[in-house]
Amino acid sequence: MDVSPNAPRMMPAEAVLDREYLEIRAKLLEVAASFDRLERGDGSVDSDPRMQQFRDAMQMILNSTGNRAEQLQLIFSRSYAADWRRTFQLSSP
Amino acid sequence: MYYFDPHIHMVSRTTDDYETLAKMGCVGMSEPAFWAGFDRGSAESFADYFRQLTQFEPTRAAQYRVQHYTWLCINAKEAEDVKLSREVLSLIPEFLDKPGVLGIGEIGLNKNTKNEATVFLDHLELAASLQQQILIHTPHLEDKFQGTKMILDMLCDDQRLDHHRVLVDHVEEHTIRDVLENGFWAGMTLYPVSKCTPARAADMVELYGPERLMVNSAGDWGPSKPTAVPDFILEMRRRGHPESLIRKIVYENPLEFFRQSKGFDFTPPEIVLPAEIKNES
Ligand SMILES: [Zn+2]
Repeated sequence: MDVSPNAPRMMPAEAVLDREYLEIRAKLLEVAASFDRLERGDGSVDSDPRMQQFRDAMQMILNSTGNRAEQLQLIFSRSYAADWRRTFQLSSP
Repeated sequence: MYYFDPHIHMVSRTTDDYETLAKMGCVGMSEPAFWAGFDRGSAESFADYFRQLTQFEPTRAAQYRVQHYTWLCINAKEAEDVKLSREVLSLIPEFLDKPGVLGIGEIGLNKNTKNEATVFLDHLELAASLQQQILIHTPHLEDKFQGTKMILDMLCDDQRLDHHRVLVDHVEEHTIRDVLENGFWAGMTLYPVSKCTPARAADMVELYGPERLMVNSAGDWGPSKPTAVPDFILEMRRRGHPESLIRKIVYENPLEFFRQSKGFDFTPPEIVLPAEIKNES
């Protein structure tokens, strides 16, 4: 992905993996356990739109490269309409 | 390392927090006016709050040699009440010349409503007519993307505003680029659980570089960690980033931005220290 020309130098990938391996493993485990808990609970939340957000997020993490954090944020965001001022009948200064 | 927390709500914190922050290297802070966790009953209540921000907090901070600055406004949540907001706005000019007042803030949106946008525009009018700097609160979670876009629309529409005198706070991965590309300053707020972490803030520094970027704790009455800036410093060090880069983000950048306010009379600790040593010897 695009990195600003005056951006600082990154740690080597191998060093990032060494440092974060257990942390990432633990975070994935938390997500897996949360899904088990949702499934074990009485009733079903399968059709809840928030569950679809989770599915979209996981698909995206697997399928994209680069700005995953940004894309994940957008999955959980309300959309923006450029003509909002007209909707609100607000005039600019 | 000395640092400056550009966004922290000390009225909600204890004096022990001032002591802890001072011990961790905090030499200055700026405190925007915000929501108290409940809606205030009248404009007079805001006048008292502005006295607390301009008189009491700087005195409390000074006991620990922390230099305290502030910003005044009616926050986005209570801005839903337009009539009350306009009463509060009329009180602000008499406080703007008090020592340590840096400008108008933190103004912004909360649920991105018409009333919030109306009061936001009123604040821009006040700031532009009195040449004040502006500190902006962007909404949280699902409202952040939409609300930040709306705020940028209103800021960019107003030809009177100098973008280098506006700080847009609580940026995250999906809002930071727009803010920086439009020439504004950006603040990353570190929350312990729900929002930006020190690691993700460090990622954004690596992606966008350190220009016009700051980090803050936004410590307040809710779950928050006033010592979050030192957490960021440690994360940057663990990644092997140079001290000069870290210092730019946590110390030099806030000073560069705040110096544009005439209410900013900061005395850097480096200058205080040698004089003290001489006096003691
Ligand atoms: Zn705040």
